[in-house]
Amino acid sequence: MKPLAMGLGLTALVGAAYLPAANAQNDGEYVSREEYEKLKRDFERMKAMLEQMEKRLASQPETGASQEEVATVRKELKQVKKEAAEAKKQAKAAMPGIRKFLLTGYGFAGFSSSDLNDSSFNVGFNPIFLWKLNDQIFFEGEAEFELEDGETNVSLEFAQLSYLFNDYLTFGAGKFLNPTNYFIERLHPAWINKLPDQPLSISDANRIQAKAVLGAQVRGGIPLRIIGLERGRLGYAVYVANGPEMNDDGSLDFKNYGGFNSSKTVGGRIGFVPLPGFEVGYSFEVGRARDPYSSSKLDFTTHVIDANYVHIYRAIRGRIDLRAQWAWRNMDNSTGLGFDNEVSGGYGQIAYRPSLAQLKWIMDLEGVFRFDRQNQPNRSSFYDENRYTIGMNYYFNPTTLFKFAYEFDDRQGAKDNDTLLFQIATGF
Amino acid sequence: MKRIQITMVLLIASIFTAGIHAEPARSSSADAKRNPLSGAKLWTENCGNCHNLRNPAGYSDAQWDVAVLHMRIRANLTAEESRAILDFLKAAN
Ligand code: HEC
Repeated sequence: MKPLAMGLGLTALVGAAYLPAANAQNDGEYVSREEYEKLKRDFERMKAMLEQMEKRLASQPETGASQEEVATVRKELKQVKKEAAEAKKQAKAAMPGIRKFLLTGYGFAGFSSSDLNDSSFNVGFNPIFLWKLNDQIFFEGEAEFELEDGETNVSLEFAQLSYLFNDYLTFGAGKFLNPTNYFIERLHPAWINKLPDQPLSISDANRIQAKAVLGAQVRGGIPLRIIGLERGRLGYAVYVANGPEMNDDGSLDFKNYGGFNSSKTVGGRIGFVPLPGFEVGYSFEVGRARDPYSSSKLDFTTHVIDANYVHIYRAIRGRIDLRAQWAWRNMDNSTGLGFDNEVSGGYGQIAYRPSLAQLKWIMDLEGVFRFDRQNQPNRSSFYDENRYTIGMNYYFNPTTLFKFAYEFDDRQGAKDNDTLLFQIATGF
Repeated sequence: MKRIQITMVLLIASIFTAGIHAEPARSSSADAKRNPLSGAKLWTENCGNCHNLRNPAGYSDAQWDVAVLHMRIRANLTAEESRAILDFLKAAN
């Protein structure tokens, strides 16, 4: 400690002696001979003093401080160094404008064999690119690579730029997963979905809602503490996006990425989470689609309710995962269709995983049952359908699983299409 | 068709009731009262509800920054809870 203080003092002394001398004559361009000699003399004197002091210090035994004092000082120094490193780390982490990137996504390979279709293998690869540009700006993009008819199809699943306005409101624009379609927004990736395929109402030919939309949204989560409740939160999302086009058979083509017409769809969802693991939501969508049989526009309104409940029950040594979603859509009559174009449908699913079992291989098993229902307009070319799917999964790790499922199909007025499905999926 | 619609609504209502019934058991946890914003607890309670929990050690601090922000936006989590979860993940990785 002492030599350090002395060294510092000397440096200051040298500096103090040097600076005024140099500054005093700083108005001229050159240093005169006289000034130079003076500086040189001063410098030599300082040098000699320094050498003398160094010698004296080196010969002096450390008598000033006791062992304990030295130890305390050392400890303090260590602590200060640690704190400085911590402060530096914190300062670095809080620095805005640091781009942070994460490459994630999922992949799957499957096989399906059904009564009506040829059996086939299938595969998919969905890389997701995430950038956090700073605390306010976030970008997410997903590409989907799929094999179809001997070709590789690439599609842009979503590409959205989000701006976090404050703790309660985030603004997003681009192509994003439909926030009023809970299954799609939060459960569809193959490593999350507990069955190899998607519910009927979500991905059927005459599906009720869009999977992704092109537009802008505001969304956020609000803690219910602000209205005096002990726990819970409210999630919301409101969007406006390019509207769909009606096909000749009355179904809606949601893939309106070029702007079929100027009609926009407006949708919103409120999700109530009174306690962790339990969420109920209500959503709506209103919009207009051009009638292919006339030049008029047809108004449509969609309502959706969803419920989700996840809980570990000790009594049954495992985890119950319940999901349900039901949507119904009403639409203005089209003169060309000759039927009321109303559709409704949804699913209910229960999964059980013995996560508290003693044996690891039992813990990693999961049983699933899903009921699907789709109601189509009477006299349309579509048929009502019930589907009962049982599945068994095995988790190799939290994001990699093997799925086996069998679907018992029940079509009204059409031949049933029972299907056997296998899939292996991973989220990375 | 109407019957099934009613059945589905009832199903969803019963999931709702099941959730409400589970509440007393959970809120009696003394831990929650002591520290409502405990990151570890919020993580286990919130992050495993759509998918399995991932090992905190699987990502670096910077990667968790990105993933948790992604989840905050996607799952409409509250900002304060996601901050507490992020702190926990950064301490646990
Ligand atoms: C409402 C459902 C839901 C909740 C709650 C949720 N996640 Fe996710 N999580 C998802 C979905 C959906 C994806 C896949 C994103 C995609 O494919 O676009 C995902 C992906 C991830 C990934 C992969 C990287 C990424 O960002 O895509 C990580 C890591 C992750 N979640 C961690 C978490 C953590 C930590 C929490 C708690 C703060 C959490 N999740 C809460 C639905 C959820």
